[in-house]
Amino acid sequence: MIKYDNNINIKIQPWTKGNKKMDLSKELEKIVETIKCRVEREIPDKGYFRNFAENFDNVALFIERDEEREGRAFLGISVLHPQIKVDAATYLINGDRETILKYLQDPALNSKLQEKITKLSDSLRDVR
Amino acid sequence: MGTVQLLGKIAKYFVKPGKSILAHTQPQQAEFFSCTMKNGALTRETQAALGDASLFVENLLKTQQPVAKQEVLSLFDNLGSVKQIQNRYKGALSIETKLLRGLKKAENQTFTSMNDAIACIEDGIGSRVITQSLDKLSKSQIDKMIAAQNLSKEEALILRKYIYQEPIAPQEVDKAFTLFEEFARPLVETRSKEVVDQLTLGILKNRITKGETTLQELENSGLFRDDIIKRLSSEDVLPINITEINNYRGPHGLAEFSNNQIRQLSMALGEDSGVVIISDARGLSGRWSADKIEKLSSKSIKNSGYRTAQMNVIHQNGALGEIQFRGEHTNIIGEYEHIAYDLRKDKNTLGEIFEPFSQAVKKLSEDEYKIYNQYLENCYNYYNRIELGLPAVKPKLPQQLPKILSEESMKALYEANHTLQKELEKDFVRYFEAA
Repeated sequence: MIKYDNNINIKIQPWTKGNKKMDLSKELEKIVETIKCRVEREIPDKGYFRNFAENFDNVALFIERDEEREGRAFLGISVLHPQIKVDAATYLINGDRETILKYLQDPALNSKLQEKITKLSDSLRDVR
Repeated sequence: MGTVQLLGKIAKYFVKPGKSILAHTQPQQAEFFSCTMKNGALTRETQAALGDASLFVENLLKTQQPVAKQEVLSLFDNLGSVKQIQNRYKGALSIETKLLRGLKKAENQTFTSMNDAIACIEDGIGSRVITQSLDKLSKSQIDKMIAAQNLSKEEALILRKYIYQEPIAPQEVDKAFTLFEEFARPLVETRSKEVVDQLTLGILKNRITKGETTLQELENSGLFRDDIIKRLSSEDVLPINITEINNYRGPHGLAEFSNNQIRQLSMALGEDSGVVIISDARGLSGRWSADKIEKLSSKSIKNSGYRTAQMNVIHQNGALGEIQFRGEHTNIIGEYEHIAYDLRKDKNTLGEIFEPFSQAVKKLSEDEYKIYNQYLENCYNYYNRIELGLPAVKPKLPQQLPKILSEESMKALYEANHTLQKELEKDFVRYFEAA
C-alpha cells in the first residue's frame, strides 16, 4: 500500500520538457483547443463513443463516456506521478456535448486548469 | 514462574497458546511511552516497549470496536446484496509485527508518543462486507449479452471461447480477456451497485458535514446521478471517512468494483481529499500511453489473483480501520491463498500443521512459483465466475507441483488449523514467563 512520508521530497514538475520549462498556459491552450474539436466531432447526441484524451508531458485532459446517462460525458484532468505508479485526477464537469463545449470556452478556464494541475501535483507530492 | 517474581522485568508474555511477545511486566504509563531503534538495531528494551505498545493498542482497539462495528453494520447491513458482515480488532501479535515495520520507517526510527504507534495500525478494526452471488446465467442469457456487445464475428467467437473456458491460442488471451472484461462489467456492477452507492452517499455526507461542499453544489456539478442526489437530500445518510482505496485483482481477474464505480467514488471524494486510489487504470480513457497505463495499473494487480476492494477508514469514534469488500466465495479462498505468499516472504506465523505445506512452498523454484501463482489466480477466477453467475470450470493443480499445494489441501489445512487453534484457545489465559 502507498504510505505517506513527509520526509521524502519528490520533485514534481509536470510542465518541463527536458531541462526547459514549458509554458503551461500555452500547452494547456493547445490541448483545450484540440479537445474542443474532438468533443464537437466525437461526442454524439446518442449512442456509443470512445473515451479520449489529449496530453502533454504528464498532464491529460480527458473525456469519459457516462454509461448511465446517454449522450453525456465526464470531462476531467489528470496528472501522472513521474516516478510512482499513480495518477491524480479530478472531474470538472458532466454533461452533453454542448454543455462540455460551453465549459471549454470559458475564458477563465486556462487559469482554472493551472490551479487544478498545481493542486493535483501537490496531492502527489507526498505519495510514494 | 509467577508474575510476582517478574515485577518490573522484561518477560515473554504469551498472548496466544505458544505465541508470545516481549513486554514489561509493569509497563510505564502510555503518556510516557517512547521507543527508538539504535543504529537500526532492536534492543531488548525497545522490543519490550514495542510489546507494551502492542498490548496498549490492542486494548484501545478492543474498546473502540463495538462502536466501529455498529457503524459498519448501519452502513451496509440493510443492503439486500450484502450477505454477511464480519468484524474484528487486531490482536497484539499482529500489532507488534506492524509496529516493528512502522518503527523501521519512522523518522529517526523513533516513536515519540503512543499516538505514533496507534497511527501505524491503519487496519486496527477490520471489517469485511461480503456480497451475495448473482443467479447463474443461462446459455440464452449469455448469448444475448454477447450479441449486445456489437462485436465482429471473430471477436464474438473469441469471447464465447473465453466465457466457456475453451482453449484459446496464447496470443489471443489478452485480447479475449479485454473483451471478457467489457462483457462481464454489467455483472460486476450489478453485484456491487448497492455498496458503491452506499459508499458514495457516505463519502458525500462526510464532505457536507465537514463543510467541504453543499448539496446544492453537488447537484449543480452534474457529476452525480439524480437518484444519488435525491437520496442524499431525503435519507438519513451516515457519513464515512475514507483515506485510501485499493481495488485489487489478478492479471486476468475482474476487480470487485468496475472502473465506472471507482470513478464514482473518486468524484465523491472530490479533488482535495488527498485519498490515494489504487485501481486498474486500463480502459478508463486514453489518458496515458499504453506503457504508462501498464505501470499505473501494476500496483493494483496481484499475481496470485488476490481480489478485494479494500479501503482505509477513520471511524466516527476515531478508530482506524479497514473495510474489505468481497464476494462470498472469493472471501473463503482469500483466507488461505496468501499463506504461500507469506511463506515465500518468510512471514511464518503459522502453526506446525502447515509445516509440510511450508516446506513444499519454499522448495518451489521461481518458475514453479509463477506457475503456482497462475494456478491460484485461476482458482480465484473460478470462484469469481460462480459469484457472477458465469460458467466455471474448477482448475486443476499443474502436474509438476506437489499435491499438498492444491487449493483443496490449503483449505483443509486452514480449517484444521482453525479448529485446533480454537480448541487451544478455549481455556487459555495469558501469562508471563521469564525470558
